[in-house]
Amino acid sequence: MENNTDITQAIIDTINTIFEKLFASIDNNLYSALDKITFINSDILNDNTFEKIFGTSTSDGILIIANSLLLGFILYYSIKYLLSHITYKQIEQPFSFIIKLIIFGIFMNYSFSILKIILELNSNITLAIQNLGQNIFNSQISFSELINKINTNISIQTSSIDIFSLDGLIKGTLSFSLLSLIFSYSFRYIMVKIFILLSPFAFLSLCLDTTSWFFKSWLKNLFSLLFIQIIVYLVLLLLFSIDFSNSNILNKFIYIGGLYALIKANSFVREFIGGISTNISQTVQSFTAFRS
Amino acid sequence: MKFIFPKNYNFKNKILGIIDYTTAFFNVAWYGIVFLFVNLFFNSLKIKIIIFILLGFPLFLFSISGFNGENIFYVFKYMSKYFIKQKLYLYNKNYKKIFSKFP
Repeated sequence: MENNTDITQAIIDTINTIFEKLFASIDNNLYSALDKITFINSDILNDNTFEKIFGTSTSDGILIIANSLLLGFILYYSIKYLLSHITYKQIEQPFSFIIKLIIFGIFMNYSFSILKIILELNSNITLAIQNLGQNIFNSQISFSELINKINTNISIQTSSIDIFSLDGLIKGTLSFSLLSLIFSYSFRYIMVKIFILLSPFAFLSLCLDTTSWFFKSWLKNLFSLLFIQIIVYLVLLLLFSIDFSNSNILNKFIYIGGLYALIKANSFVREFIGGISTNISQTVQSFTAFRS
Repeated sequence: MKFIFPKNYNFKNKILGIIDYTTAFFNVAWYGIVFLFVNLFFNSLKIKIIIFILLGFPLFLFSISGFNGENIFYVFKYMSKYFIKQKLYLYNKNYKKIFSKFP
C-alpha cells in the first residue's frame, strides 16, 4: 500500500517537474516576443528586404507591376471611351479620369510613406495608452509586466507548481492562452505586412469606379488589423487597473477573463469593423469543416 | 414548375461565377500570344512585365466588367458582324407563330 502511494507521488512529482519546465520556458521566452509582435509601428517597414520587395523606385519590386497596371488602366479607359462613341454608353468624363489617375498615381507611388504615417499614427495612440498606464500605475503596460504581476500577486510560484491544484490549473490556462495569443498575433503581423504590400494596388483601384471596391475592402481589413492593437492595450490597461493586493479566487478568474478578452479581441474587432479573422483555432476549425 | 426567363437572357456557365468559358479561352489565347511576343522581342524582365500587363490587363478588365453587363467577346462579335453587313435583325424564335396571327 505504501509502495503504491510512493509510485503515485513519484508520478505526480514527475508531471509537476515537466510542467514547471514548460511554464518556465514559456515565461522566459514568450512574453517579450509577444510584446514585440503585438506592438506594430513603422519600424516593421525599416527592413531592406521588405523595401526591395515593395520597390525603392517606380521601376522596382511591386511598384513596377502597379505602374504597369496604371498604364493598363489608361489603355482600358481609352478603348472604352472609343467604343462608347459606337455603343452610346455613358462613361466617365476624360478630365475626371485623368485627374483621378494623377492623384491616385501619386498616392500609389508614395504608398510606402503613406503607410508609414498610418502605422506611426496607430503606434502613437497605443503609446498614449501605455503612457497613461505608466503614469497611473507606475509600471509599463506590457505582456512581460503582466505576467510578472500574475506570478507575484496571485502567488503562483513557477519554482514549485502543483498542476493538480486550482492555482496550477489557472497557471496552465494562462500559459496556454498566451501561447495561442502569440500564434494569433504572429499571423496578424504577417497579414499587416501583406496588406502593406497590397497598398499600391489598393490606391490604384480607385482610378475606376468598377474597381474601387478593392480599396474599400483593403482599407477595412488593414484598419481592423491595426485596431486590434489599440483594443489589446486597452484590455491590458484594464487588467493593470485591477487591485490584486488581496489575492482571492475572484481575482485569479478576472485575470483569466482578461486573457480571454485578449484572445477574443480579434473576433470582437471583426464583428465591430469587419475584416479578416486572425483567430488560429477558427482557421483550423474551418479547414476541418471544409474537409468533412 | 415553370421558370420564366426574358427572351434575350443568355444562360451560360461561368468559371467561379465570374467569367464564361468562351471569354476565358479567348483570354488564355490572347495571353499566350502576348507571352510569346514578349519573349521573342524583349530581353529585359522589366520590359517583359510592363508589356505583358499593358496588353493583358485591359482585356482582363473588359472580360470582368464587360459592356452594360454584356460580355466583351460578344460585343466585339456583334460589332464586327455589323461592320461587315450593316443590317439589323430582330430575332425571335417563334416569329412564325406571332406573324401567323396577323392576316
